[in-house]
Amino acid sequence: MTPQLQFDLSTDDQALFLAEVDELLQRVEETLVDLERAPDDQALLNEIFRAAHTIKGSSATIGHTRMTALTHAMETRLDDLRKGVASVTPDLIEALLKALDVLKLLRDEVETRVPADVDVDAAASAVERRSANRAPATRKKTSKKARAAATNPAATHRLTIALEDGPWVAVRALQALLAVGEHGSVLSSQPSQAEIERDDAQIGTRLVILLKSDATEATLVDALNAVPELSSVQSETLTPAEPGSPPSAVRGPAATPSAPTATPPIATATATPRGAGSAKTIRIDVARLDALLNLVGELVIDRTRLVQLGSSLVDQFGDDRVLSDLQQTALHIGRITDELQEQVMKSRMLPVESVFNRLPRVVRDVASKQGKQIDFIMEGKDTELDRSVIEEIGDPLLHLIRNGVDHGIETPEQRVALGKSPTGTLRLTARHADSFILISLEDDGSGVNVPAVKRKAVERGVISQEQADRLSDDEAVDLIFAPGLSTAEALSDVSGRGVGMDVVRANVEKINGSVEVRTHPGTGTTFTIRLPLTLAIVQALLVRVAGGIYALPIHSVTETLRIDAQQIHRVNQREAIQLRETVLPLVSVRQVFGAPNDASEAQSEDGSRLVVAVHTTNARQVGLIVDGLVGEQEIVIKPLGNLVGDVAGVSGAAILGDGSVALIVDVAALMAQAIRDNTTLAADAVPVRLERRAA
Amino acid sequence: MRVRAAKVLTDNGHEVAQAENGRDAVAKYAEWHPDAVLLDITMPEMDGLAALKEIKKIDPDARVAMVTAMGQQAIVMEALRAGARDFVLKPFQPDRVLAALQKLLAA
Repeated sequence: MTPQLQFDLSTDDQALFLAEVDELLQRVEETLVDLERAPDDQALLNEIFRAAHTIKGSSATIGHTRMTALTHAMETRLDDLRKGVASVTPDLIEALLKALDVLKLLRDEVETRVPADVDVDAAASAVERRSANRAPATRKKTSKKARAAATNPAATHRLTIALEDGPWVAVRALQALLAVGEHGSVLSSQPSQAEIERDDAQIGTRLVILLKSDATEATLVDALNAVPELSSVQSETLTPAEPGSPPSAVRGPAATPSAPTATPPIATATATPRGAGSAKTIRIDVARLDALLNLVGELVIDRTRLVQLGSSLVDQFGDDRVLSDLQQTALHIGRITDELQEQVMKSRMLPVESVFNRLPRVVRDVASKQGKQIDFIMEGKDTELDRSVIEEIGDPLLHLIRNGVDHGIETPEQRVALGKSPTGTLRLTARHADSFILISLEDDGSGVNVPAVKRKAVERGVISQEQADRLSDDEAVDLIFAPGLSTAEALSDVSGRGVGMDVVRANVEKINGSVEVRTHPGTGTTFTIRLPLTLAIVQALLVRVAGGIYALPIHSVTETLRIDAQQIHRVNQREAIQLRETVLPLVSVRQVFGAPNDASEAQSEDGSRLVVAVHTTNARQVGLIVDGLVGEQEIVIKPLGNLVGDVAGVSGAAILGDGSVALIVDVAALMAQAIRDNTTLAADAVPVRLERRAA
Repeated sequence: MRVRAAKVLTDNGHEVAQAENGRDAVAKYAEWHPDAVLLDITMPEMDGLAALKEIKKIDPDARVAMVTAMGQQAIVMEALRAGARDFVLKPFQPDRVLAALQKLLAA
């Protein structure tokens, strides 16, 4: 059995540590990718350096020596870059990114307590190896440290020093730091050197130093004893001095000859400044926010009910003073509930940044694997989305990005031959539009080969040849979202296995979003993902069909109209109407849901019918024939539950103000079903521009 | 202060050379290569910090302790970073100076 790792931190601290390290690792990754493109950007370098330094400090504090050693190597190398004695090379970026991947595995160790099977020394020396290019000037300057590194095996020592209080305590602390620094390299200290050197330093009387050194403990203690006004010095060796020592022995005073009593956890010392610095934000368990949102959802329902009850009481008993008071109160509660709902929604919002920031690395890796040059531009990173939406959007985006690099953008040679710049552009944009977020990914590559898509779709039996002939290019390109369709010349491990675009669409639709594609042969492709701000509450149009109430998500409703019987034409054995310049196929909701087809209800006396024009994700539009309109209302989406299970065409249910239940129509599924019932509908349904509503 | 310090040190068996200012101190160091240096931060012509840096250029292993007054913490820190080993506080206390010197010589 693998022995468990031990770290110096409590459960609470662990969550903090992991969150902090995750953020920092993410930042390093983003900045490294940026740095590769802007090697001279000092600000980027500084940011990576600071992040690496902070990780080093944090990991040293919990006694994660492997993590500390690797970040130390990175930091040293980055410092060379900062000083200008080494330069940014693709190899170095590669080594740093590899080291970053190792760090991620080491980070997981803290969570799992299972030693990760990674070669930290190899990663560290890959980062360090390029030190050979150093300018001679610094070689001399760092000779002492270099020597210490060369005569590895070095051990990590924890030195705990008590200082005599007084006006010179900070100076003594610095003296102690410098004294041990002569014998090795200081991995971290608490307080840090920067804190000690601050003018108004209030550092207390305790100094803990983590030192990597090949010196003996006696040597280190002697060095410290030469510093006056230190009341006590305790030393402990953390790693046995042998390379590749098993991680299980990473920490453990018992393994060393020194006094095991010498180490109160340093975590306690860091807790204070960390807590003080983050006073304005707190981390909350997502489950709590979910619970809160659920409760607010219930409250919204009851608010609506309360207002309705008030109205009906007034209708019944007239203008009574108590009743009007009740109504006033109900209205007030309504306003407060609205505000509460808004605040809760807001508290769940995250900038899309958290998803976007993972992507530059992906673009970089795929592009470099395929020898492509890509300028990846991200805009609107601060656009906010509900975190449940954010969680779902990561994979589809990742796939679209890979796809864009893999299939979209050509190789530099191909591009030059086409008269384009050798560097392709991939632009990812997020922005608000009404109650939606639009995320679009635009490439300036070859575009989708529409005839090839058609051919493949017919080959695979997705559509018939006849259907293919009738499809316009705009419609045909939509076929790339059909299951089992990939037109890539050769399948690569990057994106093309033909399971992808259909999954992208399915994932996006699962969260009430839509994805569409526009392509221009030779000049590029644009994917646009349209997402709701939130998943839990939607604005809906309530309609009556066969005595039941159905809710249509308002974002899929284009318009409602009343049409006369003589306006209805039959096109391809289907009812349709002429709506301005286009043909709008009609679907009877009654039929689709198998309700008794009682024509008298659907048709008013003059034969006119009520039609709600709806569009789906792929920008097709149909008219739904309904019996009546109930009104527009905010509804809280509830799953149907296990007893009912999945019902085609219904995505959930909502409880209405009067306590009755409305089924929420899944417009996309409804249309798909109608299309299955009559395949010609697919071709009949007319494309509409989604942007029309946004305008 | 300088004269008194020199007397205490001489009385305790050390050979002492005195310098009037920073520039003088650097020159004397180059000439003598003493085992240890006590360097006042506040000196005419060239201050202690500048003198320290010059001395370190001549001999990176020079053992130097700064002589300082209260309130000069920041300068002392800079001196430590520049290679000073220790510091002695004014007003002058013979025991302290001797103790500091002993540590300096022992290191």
